[in-house]
Amino acid sequence: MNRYTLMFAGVVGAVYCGFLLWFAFRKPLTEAWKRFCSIPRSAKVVAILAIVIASVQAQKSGGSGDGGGGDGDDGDGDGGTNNAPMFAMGPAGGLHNLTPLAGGVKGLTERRLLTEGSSPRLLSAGTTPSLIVTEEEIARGWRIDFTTNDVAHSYSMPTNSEYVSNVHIHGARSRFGLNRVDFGTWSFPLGPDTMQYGVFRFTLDGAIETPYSWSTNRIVAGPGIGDALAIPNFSRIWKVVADDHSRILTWENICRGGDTNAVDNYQIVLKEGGDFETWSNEVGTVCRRINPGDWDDDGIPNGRDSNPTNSHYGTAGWSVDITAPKVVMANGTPGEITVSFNPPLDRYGESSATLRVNGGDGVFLRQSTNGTDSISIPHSFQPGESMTFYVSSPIASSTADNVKFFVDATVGDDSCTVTQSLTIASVDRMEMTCPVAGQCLTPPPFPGETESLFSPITGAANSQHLAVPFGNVATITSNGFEVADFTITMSLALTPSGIDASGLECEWEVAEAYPAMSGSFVHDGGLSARFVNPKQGGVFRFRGRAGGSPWTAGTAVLPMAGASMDDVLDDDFGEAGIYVDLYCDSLCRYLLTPVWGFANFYAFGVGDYRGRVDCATNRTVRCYNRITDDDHLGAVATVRGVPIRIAKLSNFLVNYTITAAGVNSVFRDVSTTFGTEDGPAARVSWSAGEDVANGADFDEKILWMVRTVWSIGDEKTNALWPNPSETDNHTDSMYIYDYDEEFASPVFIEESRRRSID
Amino acid sequence: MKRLLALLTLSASFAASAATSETWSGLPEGGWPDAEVSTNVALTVDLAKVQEIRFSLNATSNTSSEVIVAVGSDADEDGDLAYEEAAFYFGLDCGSRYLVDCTTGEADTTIGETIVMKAREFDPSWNLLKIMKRGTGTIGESVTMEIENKKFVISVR
Repeated sequence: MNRYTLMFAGVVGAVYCGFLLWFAFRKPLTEAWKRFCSIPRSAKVVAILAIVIASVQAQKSGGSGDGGGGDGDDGDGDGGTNNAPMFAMGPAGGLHNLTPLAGGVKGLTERRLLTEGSSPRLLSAGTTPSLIVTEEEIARGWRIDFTTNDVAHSYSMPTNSEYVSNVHIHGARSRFGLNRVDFGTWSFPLGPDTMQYGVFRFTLDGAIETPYSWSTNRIVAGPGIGDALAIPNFSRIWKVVADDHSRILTWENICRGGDTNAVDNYQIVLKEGGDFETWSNEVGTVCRRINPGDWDDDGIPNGRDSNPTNSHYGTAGWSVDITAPKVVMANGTPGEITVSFNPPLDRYGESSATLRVNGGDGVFLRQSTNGTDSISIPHSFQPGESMTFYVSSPIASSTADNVKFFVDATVGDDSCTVTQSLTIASVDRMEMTCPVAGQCLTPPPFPGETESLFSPITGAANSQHLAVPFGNVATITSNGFEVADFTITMSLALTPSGIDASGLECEWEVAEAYPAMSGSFVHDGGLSARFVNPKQGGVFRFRGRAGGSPWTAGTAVLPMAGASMDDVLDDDFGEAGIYVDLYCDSLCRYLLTPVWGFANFYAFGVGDYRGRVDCATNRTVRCYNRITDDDHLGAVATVRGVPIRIAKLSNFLVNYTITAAGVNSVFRDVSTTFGTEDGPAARVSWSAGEDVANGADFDEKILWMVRTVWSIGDEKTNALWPNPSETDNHTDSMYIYDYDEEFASPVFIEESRRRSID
Repeated sequence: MKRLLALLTLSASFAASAATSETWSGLPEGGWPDAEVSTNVALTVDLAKVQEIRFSLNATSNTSSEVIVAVGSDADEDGDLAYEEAAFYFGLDCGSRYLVDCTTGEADTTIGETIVMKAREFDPSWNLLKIMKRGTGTIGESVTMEIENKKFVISVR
């Protein structure tokens, strides 16, 4: 709006007030003319100019209060609306928070995904039974516990991480080079012996080894030595000390096989005590150190163990087996431990056992109801006899496998101790991802073992949820919308990390589907579940729990637009016709067109739909369908199954009415040049009203209008899902006291309706 | 006093030494973005005559280059010194020098441009020297091995 317009607006206001009073007191026209003639000539000129401007402005709907008809922020220039820019597409998958340095190399593509799926799952339970070790494993000093995948695994480095070396400047195709990572006084046993190392050599493609060229002890996270390639200013190697004192070494953006189109990330997590994890893209391998003095970790030194690679056997060849879960949930279902005794047939009368548990916080054993950390069983075990115990704790372990369960079994003087490690875990968070999700102020993950809620009415944009904008999945055709298939994936992440949760039984359920369930919810009893192919909007809350843990809930919001107002629009259109027939006489048109237009279609938003279109049983999500606080405009409703700003419907009705009333095309066209420049959607709705007034079919034109406006692509409108329910909050009052709960037709429609009734 | 000076003069020792040196330079430039080029040079050192051996490495430092010199025994006799065959190597990495002892695993990052080895420190089995260059650009690398033969003494009494 330019300053001349502002200047005239002041005059318009004064003149307008005068004519309002004139209308209010129904002064005779002649008396008004006399008054007009009595004012000074200069004032007359100004008044006439002001009236002309007012007339032009009046023939354009929307934008009360600012005199401009659309300084709003809907980007379409016709109606003071309030965007909630929540739905820019979120970042796609791929490099997981990696931020390549400036000046990356052209032609690089995202690193490959080694596995499909987006939630962690067990790929392999290890190469050997957990209590039996092989010669190969003993020779290298570690064994694979399990492998898993996790596409959400982040290779991004915390702020306190540091470059390991200047290999980020150039790589090393051969193993020569300084290539050393120094952990200072911290050390790690790499290899089958007791040697501890604080300094390691690394190779470019994800391996660490001892600093001796003659040593073969090494851990490989990547594909092994080969034609790996580092690219200046793009490939980097980092180290950092994790919260649990692990040392993390990360290779970032390494080109596999020298191929600049195949970028990989690798990571090695060295844990205190000798365990470690390796990550190569989304595949994680959890490895356990083999104790050099007790390979099978059964408490019997190798020198005295009749079978040092198998922990099941006592020194005299008899065995004790433990079957226990790897993970027990804190505050969940107690873990069931079964101990089977196989003493010699001829000596079972001499057998006895003691069960102990060590490590963790608040961990206790029980055979029935009383908890303890040690149970003695002065019992003669029949061969093959088994007993069941339970282990539980209210507190999660700080590290994986920190709870050890011991069975000290004896047969006469012959004894052995069999151990089994387990982890007390809790649900740390629920991840929820979707490739077509939009941006939220507070996106997932959801806090673990908490049931957070989201209300379509009170839920704020910063309430935690995942939102999928309609426009990200829908395309409009001549037959209506086509909604693409998509999946929202959710998974429970446990703490501590790096545990084998494959044996945990998980429960999932739809906690809330408002207003109704759409699509399907599928899971296989594991840690992840999927919400598949919803076709209707709504608020969907899901919850899951693992091993009897407290529920963890997360919400997916497919935000619904305002309710369908087809019936209201049809009625209002009919009433607009009545208005034209009964109240737009020739006197009004030809003598008072400017004033008439100003008063009936512009002032104080009398030409606008106002408030929020809604339905009690199918609420629009308010934080995505906001209305302005000052003039109560900007709501999106559903018309003919298509979301559309109600400002566009106001445009349609006003131009239909004034065109049908005979306002000349010059005034109507000129009116569109004032205020914020009309956008394409405003022009479509404006011209649709004119077309119908000139004989076009109303239903066909409305359908064309809503689809055309949607395809133009207003961000706020296109984010909202069509609401199939008919509105139930339309008021016939010309005054609304709660714009969030009610909406009203333009005043000239309601006024006409009242006069018709009178 | 004169006799004393004459005695000192006559009995003065002087060293007659013979030093040989060889310099290698001008490795081809590595290809983009990060190729490594290398060459192997056979070492023939007659330790019976050698007093010390000096290795020098010079190059124009930049932020994207590295030159490495490795010495060791070509155990598999393939003419290429593999990492496992190296006894030690030293390098100039983006302007920083280092020396790595492959046997002890120790690294020294305080070395100068010349490494001096006494003959007794040089293993007779070391028969190959490998020069590697990484990075891009021309850096004018130059590696020199200088063998200082044993001195002999002439005494005039």
